[in-house]
Amino acid sequence: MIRVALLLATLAGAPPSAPASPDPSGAAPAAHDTRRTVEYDLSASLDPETHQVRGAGRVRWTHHGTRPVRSLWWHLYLNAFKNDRTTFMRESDLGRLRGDAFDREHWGWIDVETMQIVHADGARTDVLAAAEFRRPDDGNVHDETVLETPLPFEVAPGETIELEVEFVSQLPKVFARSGFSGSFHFVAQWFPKLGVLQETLTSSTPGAPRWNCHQYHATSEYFADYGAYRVKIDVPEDHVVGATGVRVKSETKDGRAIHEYAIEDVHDFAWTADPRFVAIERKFDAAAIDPADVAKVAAQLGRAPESIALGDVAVRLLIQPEHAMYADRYFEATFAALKWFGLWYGAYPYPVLTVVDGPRGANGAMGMEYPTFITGGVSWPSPDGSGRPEGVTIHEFGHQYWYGLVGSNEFEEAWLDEGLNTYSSGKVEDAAFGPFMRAPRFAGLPLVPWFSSLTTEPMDVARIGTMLGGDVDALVRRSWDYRSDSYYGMNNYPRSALTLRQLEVVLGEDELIRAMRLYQERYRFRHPTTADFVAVLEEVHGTPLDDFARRALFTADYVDYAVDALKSKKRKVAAGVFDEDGERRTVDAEEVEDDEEDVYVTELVLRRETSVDFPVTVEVAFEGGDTRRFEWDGEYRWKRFEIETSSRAVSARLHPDGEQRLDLRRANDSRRVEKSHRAAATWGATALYLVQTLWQVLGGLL
Amino acid sequence: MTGTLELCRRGVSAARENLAAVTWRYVASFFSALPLALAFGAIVDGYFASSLEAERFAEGVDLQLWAELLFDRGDALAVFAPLVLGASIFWIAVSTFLTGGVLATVHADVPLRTNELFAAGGRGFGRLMRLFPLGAGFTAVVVGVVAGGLTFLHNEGTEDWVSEKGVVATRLVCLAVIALVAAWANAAYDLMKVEAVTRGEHRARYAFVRGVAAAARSPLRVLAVYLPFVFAALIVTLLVSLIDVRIARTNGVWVFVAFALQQGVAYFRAFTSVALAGAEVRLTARAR
Repeated sequence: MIRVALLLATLAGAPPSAPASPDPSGAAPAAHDTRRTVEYDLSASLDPETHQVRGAGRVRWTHHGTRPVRSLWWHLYLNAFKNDRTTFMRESDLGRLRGDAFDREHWGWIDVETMQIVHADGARTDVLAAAEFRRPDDGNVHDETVLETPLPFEVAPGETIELEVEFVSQLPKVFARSGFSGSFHFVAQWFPKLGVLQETLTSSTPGAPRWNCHQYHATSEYFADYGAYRVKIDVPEDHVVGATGVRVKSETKDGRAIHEYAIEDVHDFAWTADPRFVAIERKFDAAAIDPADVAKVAAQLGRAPESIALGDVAVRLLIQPEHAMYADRYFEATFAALKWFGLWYGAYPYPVLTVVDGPRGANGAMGMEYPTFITGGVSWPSPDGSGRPEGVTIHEFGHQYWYGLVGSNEFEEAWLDEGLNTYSSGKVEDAAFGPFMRAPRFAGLPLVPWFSSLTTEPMDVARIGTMLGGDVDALVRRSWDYRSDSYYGMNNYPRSALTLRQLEVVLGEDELIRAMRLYQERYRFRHPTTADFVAVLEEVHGTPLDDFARRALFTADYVDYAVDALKSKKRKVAAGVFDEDGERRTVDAEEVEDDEEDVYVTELVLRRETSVDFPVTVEVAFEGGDTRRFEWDGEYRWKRFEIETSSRAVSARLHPDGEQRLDLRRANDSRRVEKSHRAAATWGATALYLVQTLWQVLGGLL
Repeated sequence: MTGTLELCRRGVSAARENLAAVTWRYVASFFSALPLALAFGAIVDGYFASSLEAERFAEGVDLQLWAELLFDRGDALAVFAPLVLGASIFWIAVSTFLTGGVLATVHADVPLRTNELFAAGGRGFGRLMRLFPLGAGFTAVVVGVVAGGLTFLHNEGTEDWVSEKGVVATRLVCLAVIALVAAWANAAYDLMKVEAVTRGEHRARYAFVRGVAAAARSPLRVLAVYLPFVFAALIVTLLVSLIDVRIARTNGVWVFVAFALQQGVAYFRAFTSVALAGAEVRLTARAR
């Protein structure tokens, strides 16, 4: 009801004043709740011809720390696109990221024209004159994405300081996240945004106050404090606008439209404008959720179904006209995400969600997340089952939880948002859609008739991605310290997701859901660390998980065990001299008619292929259907088992119950005594045919 | 049109009357490809034969297992690059040899015996090899210029387009134009070979000029003869591939059925190439 009242109030033009979300868990309030640290009251005017945004407004910052502060640090992230020597550009191979290339004819920047402290008596004090750019991460003198503004006085704990700012933001052509493409404008990282003042080095270790305000890196852009935003967006009248928060007011005048948005308990604000957008609005109807699903999740969580009830959400899709046929799929994915994320990790606390679909040429702005505001992405044609736009929509919505509501530091521990989100959005895909088809394209057209059965599940993607990059970097690492952005990606998306899939085994699926929900509830609107996450896991599990964390999170290697050898032969009759019962007996094997006993000796050798050791189980199957299991602590590099049985061994398989999901290679997880050549025959024949085809084409040409 | 259909019909008749040539063309492609296939099969066998995943790998495309194979046997697969190069050179020689024999066979009024086919191949081999750099170079330059130019123009011209459908449509049009130009250039090269073998033109540059001139004089007629055979081969290949991908190799019988189907297509393509040669020989004869 609170949410409905809030929605009605905001639609009526009143400012949203109530907290966006009551704490549904009943958990104790956070000791350092960062809500309302900042308040932004801004106006933005877009010139679609020059692609400039002129901004102005007030910023209020409340000092929640315990020691006085003498300066403020700001993100000025559009300066990442100012020249090709910025840290962002250097890290992105001078302007190449996610398959897109930077357009060097359209640079981007933000100029802060004025910044003044507003005193209680209305007086103003300039802080810009003494401002300096800071490069805390790499000392790159060409990088102007972080600005420090010294203050003429100390801000005491508990005090609030108010500043007035004027700035101009020049949007680049869309390359990475912000920018324009034709009439499409995606306006993110567009205003001076405060960093996060931290007084703790870890969750429990006190330290001197410092601004956690990283430069804009190619792989990460999010870490800011929670607060309230009220933004007036001024655009040409024909432009359709979407933004973070709730639209509380709209008016038109002299060919311009001014839309006012407001939202609380978020840590960023982005918006978009395009005259081509088709706006479609539908309601996520919580009452339409299958009660059986609610009951199932409630049982997993050990709570009453009523306690995990969800609320309605107004979902607004801004879609390109050419993609209108995909609107239903966008909504289906969004609703599935709202449902499952809500049931598992707590209700989505905001009354609105805006989903943006960009045009051709704006790929760099797609697949992005901002509070209550996400971008999907699809290209025509996108056949049913291909996972576009479903997969990206679910993933970006998932960031509302892992990044939005729980504000972990993407720069320092990206796995806490990308990894947790890849895992949990994969679970939504599993629950709502099943595997997605991966048909390759020719000339832009998917080759569905030939590849309709080529599918992957999130677990497959996680394994493949981890195999490609899991042995170079540790999973937990500063985002710019990975060997390359590829290794950043492979560790923080698939490898992190695979690690959480393994946690499902260690803790049990239900316990992991409970732990992630507790983590979500405890750290909503806060900035937790990996240590906090592991502590919650341990709290729920009841035993330490530091061994698992060391192996899975802080090791630059992956897990790979192999069945190295499997032989099973009849035992030979014993030969030689035996002293038994006081008598000496000599057996000459050559004189024995049948020199084999009816006992099979099976030799099984297991091997650890990498440096990461985990205990493993192996199951040996015998003729007649019998099986036997053996355990190995996995610590030494290999282990031999000798088994005597009355039947011959047929095969051996590691992790027979799928209990070790981090073990990447499936092929070497099993071994058979009798080889099968069917794979070689099949693919050898196919290779023959493909080469023949090549020859015949060349023969025709030559 | 009637003339073109008649040429195509006579090309097919020539292939039917010279199944030995068709068979040798097929056999040559089979054995030229075999070493590469065996090498690949050995790599697959070494990786999967002892694993319980062998059946799964055989029965469909499992992306994870393929990723494992490529990741772990990448070094072995890298050896394929020089192997493919060597096999390609071998195939060019074999194919050139057979082309001489095939053209002589379909040009003859009566089917040639195998020894005569090989003898004719030997006679034309030197001429066709001398023609190879000219003909292949001509094809590469014409197709390269057109493909490169159209790709550049398409990318530049559609950079700011918003419509994905429009971009895909223009891309397909460009591909169609490139395919037509490639077909024409290739047909021109075919006519050069006909000049060299059936007209006994020893001098490569003259065969080259006459072939290009013939193709330039009546490009539509050349394409009208060339394209039906290419389309036939292409369509049969695509249609059978739709069946092929649906055959789960769940046991040895299905592995063999799929193999037989693939080889049937390979034989059919050998047939169409001989039939095309027959039609082009008659096209050249009629033009004179």
